Amino acid sequence: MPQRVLIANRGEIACRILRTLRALGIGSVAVYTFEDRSAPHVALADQAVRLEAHAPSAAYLDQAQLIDAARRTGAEAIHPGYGFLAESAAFAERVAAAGLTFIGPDAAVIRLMGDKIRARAFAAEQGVAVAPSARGDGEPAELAARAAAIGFPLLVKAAAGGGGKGMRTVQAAAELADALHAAAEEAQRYFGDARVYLERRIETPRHIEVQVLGDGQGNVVHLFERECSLQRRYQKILEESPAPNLPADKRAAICAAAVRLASAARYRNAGTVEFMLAPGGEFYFLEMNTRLQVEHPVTELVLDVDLVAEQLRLAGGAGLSFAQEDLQPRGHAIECRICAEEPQQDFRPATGRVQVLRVPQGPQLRFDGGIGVGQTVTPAFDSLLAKLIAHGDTRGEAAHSLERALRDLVLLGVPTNIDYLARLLRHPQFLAAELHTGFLEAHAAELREGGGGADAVAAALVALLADVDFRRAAYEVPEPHASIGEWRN
Amino acid sequence: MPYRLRIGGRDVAAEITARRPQLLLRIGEVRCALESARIAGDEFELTVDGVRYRGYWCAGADEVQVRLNGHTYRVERPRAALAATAAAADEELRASMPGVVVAVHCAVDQQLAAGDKLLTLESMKLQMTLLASHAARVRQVHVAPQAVFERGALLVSFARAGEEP
Repeated sequence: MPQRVLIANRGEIACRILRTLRALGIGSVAVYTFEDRSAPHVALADQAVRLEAHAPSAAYLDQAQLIDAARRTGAEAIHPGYGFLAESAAFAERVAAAGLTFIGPDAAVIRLMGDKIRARAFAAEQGVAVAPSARGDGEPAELAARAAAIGFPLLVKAAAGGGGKGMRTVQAAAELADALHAAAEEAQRYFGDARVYLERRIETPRHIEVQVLGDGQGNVVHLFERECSLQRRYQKILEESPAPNLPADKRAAICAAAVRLASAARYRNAGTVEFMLAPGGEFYFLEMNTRLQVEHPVTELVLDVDLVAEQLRLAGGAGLSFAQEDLQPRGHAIECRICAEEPQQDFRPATGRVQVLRVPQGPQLRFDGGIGVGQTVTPAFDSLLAKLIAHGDTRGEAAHSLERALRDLVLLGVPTNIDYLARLLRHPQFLAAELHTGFLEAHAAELREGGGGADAVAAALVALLADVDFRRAAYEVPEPHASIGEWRN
Repeated sequence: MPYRLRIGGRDVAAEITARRPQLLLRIGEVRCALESARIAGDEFELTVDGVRYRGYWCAGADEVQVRLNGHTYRVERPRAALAATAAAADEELRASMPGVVVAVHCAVDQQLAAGDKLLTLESMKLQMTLLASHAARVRQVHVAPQAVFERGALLVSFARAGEEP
């Protein structure tokens, strides 16, 4: 295993990786921008290197600076986390060329899985089902014929896509040309690759993914599945393991398909194979993410493993540290993503400065955060602030304690989705596990914020008391001597 | 003097109705007695009509946020609610949040119809295209592609109806 690791990331995932490095006695190097100088990941690391860039997010994408920072601090390996350069084959190559270890798969595998068209073809070759699809280039008449063969509604997707970018739903043939054009334009802008393809749209599917670990020699174990159907804007906000109401034979078939794919790719390190599960029970390969996932903690809790530690071992050339039969899930874990956003306004990202933070504690509770009081939440980065994860003997127990923990969590200064997530965890159809990727839209009305009542009046009073003019009027005591009880504003 | 608050998207008027022997208020349709108030740092404790409320709070530039019984209330300050006057809003497009300009779809002196594209902006990986809410002529475009702007920044200004180019 490496003696010192540089983390090419920030926020909660940088803090998460740092925790394992510390537990294993491995030295840590953080990188940061000027804006992030007081961020927790900088404070937690043994060493920290400041990056220079014209824009904050550009710094974390600056391959040369990151490799130089590793060299300067004597780090032998780089952990990319997720996002930023985690799925950049070019970066993996450059890290290796610099004589350092990239904690992730080989560049060739990243490149294969990063190209959705090639990845789908590869999956099909391994006998893993893919949804009916067709190329998105060619003459209009040809395209129309291919679309008709797939059937409507269908999806236009970007070959280099992810996160819903470069994706369009097409309800009817007349919309096809516009959708192809718009998707290609967006794909070009986001990924520098305008290639798109057509795929059958599965109505009310579930999103099920399988965590795998591979040694690069073709040996692969799966760490069971995660249910990630609850999404807004094509991004997950609540994930759990195991997937509820999944018949044992279906679970076995999905996990076996994931292992077959990863094994054929001679996959090394941690990866996730994503599937769409149709209401009829058919499942289709969606994509493979060649990195640690945001939602990895639910797997860690039900299996009592440390995926970052496994990543470090595998990157160091060690074999798998457990056999498939050693892995037995215990209980149920649910994670929710706490984001700076406004659920009432179509989940619009929000900004602000964190002013109050109180994190609930509990034996079956985990808080993966990367924010501190005083920190500014800017539009430069993803809106994910932290993750709250609960483990229970049953799904109901995990949901109950997570809902309770969300109510106890205090995060003020920036609008968040905390209350929305708590409402989601109380929703009867959620508790009944009637899940599909359209759940949040289908239940939008019930998930909306309710009225205030007596608590809203108390909140209004607090706001009034925060106002100097109101205090003066209410208590007729001139400032600065105003005193209401123990007022110490 | 009445106070105007905005809570959960609703305008609420608040008024002190008596100071002695105890502080009585009317908040919206509700009359209540504030029997005690203790605010220490980011924590508060109030007794209203014999009921104790304990929670956390913070004040930002535009709003006060209150965490009470597992719910966050955002109470907009009266100043913030009145900040953008209707007249100004008609003639200016300002940023509702910080971000970066992806594309500019309009040009100086262009006559716009309702629904015409103005700008594509990106904040936190989310892109949105802003459309003209009504017919107008573009007086000036204050940003260029790739420009970074703060919340409240002036993006596009429009000529008044009838104003000559």
